[in-house]
Amino acid sequence: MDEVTTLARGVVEACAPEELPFFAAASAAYFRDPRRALAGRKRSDEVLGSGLDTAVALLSPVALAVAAAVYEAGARDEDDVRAVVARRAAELGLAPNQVELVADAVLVSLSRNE
Amino acid sequence: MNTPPAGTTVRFALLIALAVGVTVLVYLLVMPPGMLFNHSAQIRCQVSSGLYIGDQDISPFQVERIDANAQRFRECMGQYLPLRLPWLAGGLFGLGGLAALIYFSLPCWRIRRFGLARLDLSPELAEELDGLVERAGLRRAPVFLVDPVNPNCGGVAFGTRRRPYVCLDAGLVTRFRWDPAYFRVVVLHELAHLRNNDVPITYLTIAVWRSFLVVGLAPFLAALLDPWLTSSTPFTSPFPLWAGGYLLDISTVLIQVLALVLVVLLSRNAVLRSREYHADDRVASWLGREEPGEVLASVRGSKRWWGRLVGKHPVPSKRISAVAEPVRLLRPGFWEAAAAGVAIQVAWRTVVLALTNIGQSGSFALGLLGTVWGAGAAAVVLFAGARFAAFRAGGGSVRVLLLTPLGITLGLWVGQYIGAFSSLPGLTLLELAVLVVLVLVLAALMWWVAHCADLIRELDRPRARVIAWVAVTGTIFSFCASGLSWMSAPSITGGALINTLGPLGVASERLVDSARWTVLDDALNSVLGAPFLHLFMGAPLVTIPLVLGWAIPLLLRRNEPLRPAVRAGVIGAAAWLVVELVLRGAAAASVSDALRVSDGFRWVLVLWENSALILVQFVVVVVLTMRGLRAVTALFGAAVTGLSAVLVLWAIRSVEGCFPSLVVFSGGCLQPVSPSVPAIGLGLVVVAGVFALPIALLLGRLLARGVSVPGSGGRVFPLVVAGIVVVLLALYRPSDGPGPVEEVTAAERGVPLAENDQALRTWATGGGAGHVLALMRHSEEYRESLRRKDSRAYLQACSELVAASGQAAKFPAPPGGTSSRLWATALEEYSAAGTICRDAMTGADTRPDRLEVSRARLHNATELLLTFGLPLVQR
Repeated sequence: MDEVTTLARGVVEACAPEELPFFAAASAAYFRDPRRALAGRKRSDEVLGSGLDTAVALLSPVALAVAAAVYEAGARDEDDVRAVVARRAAELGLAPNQVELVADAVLVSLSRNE
Repeated sequence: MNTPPAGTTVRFALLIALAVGVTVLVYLLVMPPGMLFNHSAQIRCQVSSGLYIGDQDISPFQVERIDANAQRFRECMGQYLPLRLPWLAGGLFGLGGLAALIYFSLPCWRIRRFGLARLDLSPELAEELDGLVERAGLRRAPVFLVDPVNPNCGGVAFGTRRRPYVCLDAGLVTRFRWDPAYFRVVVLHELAHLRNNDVPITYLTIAVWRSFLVVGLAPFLAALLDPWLTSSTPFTSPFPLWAGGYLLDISTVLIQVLALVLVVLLSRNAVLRSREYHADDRVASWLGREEPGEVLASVRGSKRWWGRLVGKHPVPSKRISAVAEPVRLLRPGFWEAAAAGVAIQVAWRTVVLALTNIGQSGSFALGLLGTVWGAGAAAVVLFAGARFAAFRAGGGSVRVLLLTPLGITLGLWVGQYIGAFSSLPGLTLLELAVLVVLVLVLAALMWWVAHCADLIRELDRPRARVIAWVAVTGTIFSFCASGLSWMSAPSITGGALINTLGPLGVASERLVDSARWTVLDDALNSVLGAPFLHLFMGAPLVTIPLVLGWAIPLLLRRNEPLRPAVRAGVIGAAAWLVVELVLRGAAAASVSDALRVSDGFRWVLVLWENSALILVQFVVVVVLTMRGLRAVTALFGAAVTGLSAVLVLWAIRSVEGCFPSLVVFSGGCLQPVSPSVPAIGLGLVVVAGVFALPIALLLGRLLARGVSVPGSGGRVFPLVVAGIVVVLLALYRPSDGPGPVEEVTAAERGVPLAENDQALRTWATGGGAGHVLALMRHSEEYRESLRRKDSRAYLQACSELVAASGQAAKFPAPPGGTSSRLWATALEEYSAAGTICRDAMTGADTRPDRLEVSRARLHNATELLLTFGLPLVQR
């Protein structure tokens, strides 16, 4: 779990540093229930909420899922890593340019951790 | 803009009161030994005690009868349901306990459910949040949490008063870097909810409502579907009951209850939307109007058409308009007023039903509830009036003034037909007239509050403003709790007024008839002896607010020219004195000594004295208004006339005994006279003045020559005049003076109540129908045996008629004067028919034509019973 978190954190630092304030909490939520973390949440009309129906695509859950996939596959070779990242990221709906960025970040994070 | 409060807390409080009231009623209905037994016991006790629950035309003259019936009802219910109070206490304890549990555990539940966590604050983010909390002016900073996997860009405020939380969505936190304006607006919006104290009252209301659904509504629906649920045989299958059409019978109740739930939900969400507008307004006051407007413009609204009606947030376009033009928030709302009206009416009605069920429906309890109803209405009027004043000051149209009174009135009318055990909707002409009067009275009250709000806003000192608002609030509360509470149930107000005003009118006519003096006596009596004057002239909580109606605005104004008003008032009083002396002289000359001291002549003289006083006041107001004085100053002048005149009258009554030819009221010379004397006079002119003096003001305006009178006046003299008038009004005692009230009270005690459909149905269900059917059956046997010429059967039928009518005579008479008379007469005829034919058949009465007489009397009895009893039985 720690390796996955560290790997994913590296990706978030590189690609979405604005998510760092809540990365630890996102990581905990992901490991509690990965499916729920990846599904996100539809905006409901909450009492005393802001009532604004706007959403963004969060990278943290995706980064954690990708890092978990890389870790489970045991991929270390650049081509293997890119293949695992591309497959998992595509499953999660990431755009091709984003997949490229995430793959680069995973490789940098892996090499930093080694 | 110094915005007046929204009044949404009051609306939330009404919803809470509604939940509590309905829970009380539910527990009384479903308590062991079960709903069917409880319902049946309640009906039996209504019939045996004479206290019929529901729409009942009652009159304040029957207070003793009502109290006695309530006592009998209470004792009867105590025999059947000795555990009702502990059961009720348990229900309330359950409601409160579960609500407390929900309220305090909701934050923890939310945190766990959504995995909320504290943010890892970077120095910039920490600084930004601290800055926003400071800008929001919060004494206690909230705990900032994040919903870490929520991609939405919003937030939510929750928690308790002592531990507030603001949860930011993960999507929102990301925007801190690349859209700081958006981040700022959303966070401030949540902080505005904390600043507006939205969190505790909102979540308390939610907690109470959810608790009600579990503790109140669910058991009620379960017991409704299965009436044996709380009986000693709870597992008895309800299917045979359902098969017999029970579900159809209760369908009306189910629809009413569901309508109530729907109304509450819609109302709650309307209040929540209102809170959102005010949070946006608060943010705009911190950041300016542009930034929040731009952020709102960047988001899309709800695609669902019902989102505008049921959503907890207004659509973005409306929020943008409200931010750009905050004066719109102050616009009197029709639907919010209607929702408040429904909540007041349903809560009040439910508590009345619940109290009646436990036998606490005597005059004191009902009077107290009427006061509480009035207080609810007063709160709505106060907030609406203050907000209307700010709306008008901000450039809003005055034409919207009627929206709130129309809304409240509609809500009060609809509220009579929502909730369990309401009657079906209907609207008579009388009820419509009551509703129209209610709208006009509420509009007048609201306009007056707005006028006072404008004046209070110009006061320099905060303490003066507080005192002024206390006076305004007290005036409105007093009037609504006493005078307006008569209209608390529009469907019965008309009948109640007729039952009260009718005897008053008859009594005053009797007084005049007994001592007719001039040809104008009847005309004066029809105006000044009008029953509603006497109903309200002796109610200080009505008359005192009417005096404060001019006194408070006058005291709030500065530099009003009072001297002309005082001068005109004193001259008016002098003119009245001349008239009074002429009247006394004329009475001495034309009326015998014996007649002069009769109650009838005293009443006639009171009419003349007060007619003269009102006429003089009318002239004073016209003259002062013509000279350019304001309405309140002109009314002050009239008050000076009135007070001076009644004080002189008081003195005259004290000394008239010294001049035997002038004696009308007092016996001895220099005899002390009760302060009720000036009180009666003042009460009469105050209430009559409500109708006469506005006409005088209009006339004065029409005749005005365009001059305005300069001057500076102090506040002491108006304060003194108003103070003395108020004190005297409070000293009114009807027993101290001549008038219809005292005469009616004694006479009305024995008068039976008016007819009421629901009460008659209850009587029929409670056993009356059984007796009606028995009499009809024995009548049929009587006729059948005659047709068959069967002597033995005929004799038996005659005996059974006697027995049945005797049994029916022991049963309580039906409610309503006409029905009880018809019933009593029918029983007499049945008994006579049976006794005559029995005696004839047994040889006890050998007179000829006895059987003919018996048949004739049976015919009479049958006609009477068909008129009265058949419709009841058929229902």
